[in-house]
Amino acid sequence: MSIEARNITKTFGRYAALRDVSLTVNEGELVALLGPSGSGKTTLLRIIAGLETPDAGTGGAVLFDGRNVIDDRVGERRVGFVFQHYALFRNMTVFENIAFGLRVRPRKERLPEEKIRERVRELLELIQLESLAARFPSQLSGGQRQRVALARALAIEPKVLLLDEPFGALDAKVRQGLRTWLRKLHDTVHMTSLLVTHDQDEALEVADRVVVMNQAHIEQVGTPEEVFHHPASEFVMDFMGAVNLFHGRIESGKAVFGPLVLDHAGSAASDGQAARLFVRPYDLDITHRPGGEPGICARVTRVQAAGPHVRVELRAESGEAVVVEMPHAQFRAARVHAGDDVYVSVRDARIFTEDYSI
Amino acid sequence: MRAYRFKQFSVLPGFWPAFSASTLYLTLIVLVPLSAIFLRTATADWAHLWKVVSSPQVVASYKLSFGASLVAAVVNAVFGFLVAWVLVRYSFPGKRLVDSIIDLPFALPTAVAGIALTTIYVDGGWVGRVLSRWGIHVAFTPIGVTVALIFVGLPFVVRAVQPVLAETDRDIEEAAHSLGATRWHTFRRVVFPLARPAVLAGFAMAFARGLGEYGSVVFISGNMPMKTQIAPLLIVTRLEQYDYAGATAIAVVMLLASFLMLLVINALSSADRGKGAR
Repeated sequence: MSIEARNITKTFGRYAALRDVSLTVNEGELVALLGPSGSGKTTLLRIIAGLETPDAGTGGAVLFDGRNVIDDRVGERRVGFVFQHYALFRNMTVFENIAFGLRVRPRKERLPEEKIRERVRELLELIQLESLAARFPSQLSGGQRQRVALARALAIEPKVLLLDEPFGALDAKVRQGLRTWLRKLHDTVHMTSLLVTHDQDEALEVADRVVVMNQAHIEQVGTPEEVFHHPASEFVMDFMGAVNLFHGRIESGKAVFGPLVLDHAGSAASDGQAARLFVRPYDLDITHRPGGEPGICARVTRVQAAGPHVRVELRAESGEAVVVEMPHAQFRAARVHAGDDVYVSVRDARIFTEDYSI
Repeated sequence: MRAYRFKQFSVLPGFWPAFSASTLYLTLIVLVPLSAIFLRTATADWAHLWKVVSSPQVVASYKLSFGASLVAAVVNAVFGFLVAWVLVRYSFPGKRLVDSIIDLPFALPTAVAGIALTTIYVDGGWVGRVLSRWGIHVAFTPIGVTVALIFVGLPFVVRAVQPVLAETDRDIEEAAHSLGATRWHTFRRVVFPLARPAVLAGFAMAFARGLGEYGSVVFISGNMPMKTQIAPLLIVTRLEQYDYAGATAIAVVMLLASFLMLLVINALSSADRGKGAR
């Protein structure tokens, strides 16, 4: 089932949580809503679920397979909702938690007891917690609780699955495991899913498409590759991982950052306009002598060789802090030590100019 | 069978001082006075005591005291829960004021409450006038006794339930709704079970308070023998006649009965709480 949110606006008092946001999730897709806290991503998810309503008179609509469900209550929308803090019923066992949605159905739609038990057992098998059916939520670990919450949401055979920071309260290792598990689960059940997260690694790893949100609007929608390699804005570039920032300006079709001169043809930016250069730490090279490439003079302040990559911290002549990451082999070849004066050259970068259209 | 161990090892010191101090305190404040009642009763002539305790007047007063306290506690459990719910879940102008009004029955001298209630509920009073038109008489009837006990017992349930509701996350209700539960189902199967131990505890306290209440009841009850005399009143009456043994005999029966009831309610409450406790 496809999900479409159309022209959603939501304000809490004087605070705008969403400003005219529209979004489409295709049938069977897993889409991540990614953004910092306060960007409106959870509010959008809750409006799609029916736990919040868009501002009255703003004409916002939520469509499931083209049908407007904005007036349907949350229980009528048949959505599976997974909460950040699990929201399990702590007075019920794991089994009863999962069975809850099946047991509260109106009598004539309710499955016979034997069918309910069968369904719960299937779900327990799916989340690999068959042996813990009689436990109470307080006797489970965080990761187990969230799996139970997911099984409980799936029990009602929802048309869409909505997950609100489902792994946000778990520690890094469990989170990684559940992420992989969730992707596998999605590949088997193919349910249209929308996942809210503030963790860009999680979004990039799990989702078919990523929707980056910031300050009540959508910054960019695209595949993980698109948003990572072709960020549409400075915000997306910055949010997708560590970046180095250099300030410069546009001069006759070129972007000039001190000794670095980069081609900036084909843009509407005029001469003298301020420009900012964003470079990922692994898109920088360090050499001891100026080679063919123009480079920024910098002094190495710290070398951190523990981890999959070597992280070199430098201070540029112009005073900016620069971080370079390189594979160990390259680091050994470059023979860089703390205190060295070196040249930093740029392999790949994104240039953003001041946008006066706002 | 659970094995009882005396001392649970803790890195924090202070088990023995804390344990001894609380035992001593309980002994001085509760146990010594209560055992005095038993000792006093034991010195008297048993035949006399049995005559006092089994006299129709006393038995009627026991029935009224326990019956009215029970009804009042049930009413308070229902409406106290409602009040607590409104105070926790909604914000409205004057909420803080309402919140402090809840405690007034604690603070008000009970005689003042009794006189005020009587003035309102007598057949010519503000409320009594309306009710008497329907043939309902509150003052000087068992209904009046119950009304007075409802008044003094209200804060117990509200104050017991309020914190439990406040710490129950909204997302639990939202989860129930998203799974297709109606409001009623959500309340009955999710919200209420979480608050039930607190409701029971509040109910027990309101009930116990009702059994011991004297000041507010004696004004509104009219103290008619066999009809509206509560047990504490008969105790006072015996004392005024210098029949200390008779007074303590009535007291011992009340004490044992209320102790048993509280024991049962607390056991129910903690069994309920133990289920799925965090």
